[in-house]
Amino acid sequence: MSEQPAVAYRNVSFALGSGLQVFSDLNLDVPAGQRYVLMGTSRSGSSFFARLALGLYRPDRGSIRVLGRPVSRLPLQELHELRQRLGFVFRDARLISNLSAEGNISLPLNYHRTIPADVARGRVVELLELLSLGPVAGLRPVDLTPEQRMRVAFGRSVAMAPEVLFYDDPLVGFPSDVADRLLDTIERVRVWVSRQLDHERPPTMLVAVSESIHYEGFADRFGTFRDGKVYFEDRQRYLRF
Amino acid sequence: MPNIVAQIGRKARFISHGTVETFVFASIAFRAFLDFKKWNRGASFRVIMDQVRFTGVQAMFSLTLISLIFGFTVIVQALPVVSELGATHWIGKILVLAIVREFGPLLTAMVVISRSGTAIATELAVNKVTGEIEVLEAMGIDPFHFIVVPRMVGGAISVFCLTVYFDAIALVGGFLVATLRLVLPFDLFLRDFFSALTMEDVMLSVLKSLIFGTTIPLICCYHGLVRTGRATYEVPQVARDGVIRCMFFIFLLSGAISATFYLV
Repeated sequence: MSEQPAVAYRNVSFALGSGLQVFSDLNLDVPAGQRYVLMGTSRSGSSFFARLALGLYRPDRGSIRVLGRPVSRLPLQELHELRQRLGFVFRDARLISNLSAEGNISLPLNYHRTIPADVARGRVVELLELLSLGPVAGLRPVDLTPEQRMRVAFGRSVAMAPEVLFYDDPLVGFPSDVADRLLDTIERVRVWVSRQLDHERPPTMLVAVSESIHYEGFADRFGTFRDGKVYFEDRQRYLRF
Repeated sequence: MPNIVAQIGRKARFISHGTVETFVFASIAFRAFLDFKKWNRGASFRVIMDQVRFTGVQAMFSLTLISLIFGFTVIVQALPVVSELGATHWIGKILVLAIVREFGPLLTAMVVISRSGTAIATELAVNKVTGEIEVLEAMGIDPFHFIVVPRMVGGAISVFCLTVYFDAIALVGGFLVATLRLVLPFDLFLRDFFSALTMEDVMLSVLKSLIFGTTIPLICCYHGLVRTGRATYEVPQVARDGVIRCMFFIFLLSGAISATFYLV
């Protein structure tokens, strides 16, 4: 019997209030521990993969299971608990503007307090070092460069050592050299999370992207998102269109 | 004519819908407040401290001026009357009535609404438009535990302390003016004041300040979090509506609490 996928979208349909159909009867399985890159066009609605899986929106039809839990049917309290096991990065970093870089990374740890304070503090220090953010740890987002802001977002996304990571086009808009550095950082934080999770399997990653160029050689599995469906899956490359 | 009627109807429905929503929001916030373990956390505690610093400490300067002028005005108006009647010892009673019972909490609330109320509604509206609220929710952080309740607690602490401060400064202001027209020793002035002050007055003032201190952030949080859509042009509208609704509720509550205490 095959293992349950970490994230599963089943016959999901979802439309925005404006009437734009984002997902039409979409099916997608993301196996546990894999890096799944999903290629869509800009403004195709690919950012809703993360939003629906995090329970920020509910699908009009179909179901989404994350770590075996039916996200769209969970009561709020259980949803909050599940979200502690998930990490995310939205495309514009979306840091909390009145917190420092360090404050942003430590926010989920300080709020949820699921681990002892000294362990949490150790994690934040480790992450600041791993992300080369030590010298700017006390600065607020407005004083950081876009690359630093994205690094802070990476740090915040993994601070709770999540089992699943959702990334929404994290490299878009960055120059090629910066994008390569950020991709390298994504891989390093993934390894870091594997160590925190204390088991062999690394966290599952679902990365929705609009530019393919940086991700070749990165993903374990590719998919193409178009017209509300995932059309093609390949271990090596995208379907070009 | 039918257009005007329809417009009034729509406006009335909009206002009543907003009022019902405010009460629903308040009930959720109250339930979150009772869940002490959830909001009494390091991250939320920092929000409380920030709120006290911004609402309480930073408002002290403007409140000092207002309370001095208010104390001065009350005495300027009352002194000729009580002097004419030969009842200068009534000054204490008048100060208790005007400052402690009614205008101390009310004017403090007005200062807090104009400074912190607008700031809370605007900040949260901007946070919502820029997606920061969505980010908090995605991290499993309940906005009621992290945003609303800490602001209510910080607001209550601040308004309570500011009301006591307002009363003290207004009394000093009143005394300074009284000494211009009357040979009134400070100890006699204080004796008149404290002999007129009852436990009921103190309790009323404390109750009002705590209720106002929780109501202002509550209404402004509601406007910032619920009434805002996804466009920046809505931010000033939300702040304006929040302030107006706050003022309306504060005057309503002030009247209702006073009536309950002294009429019932």
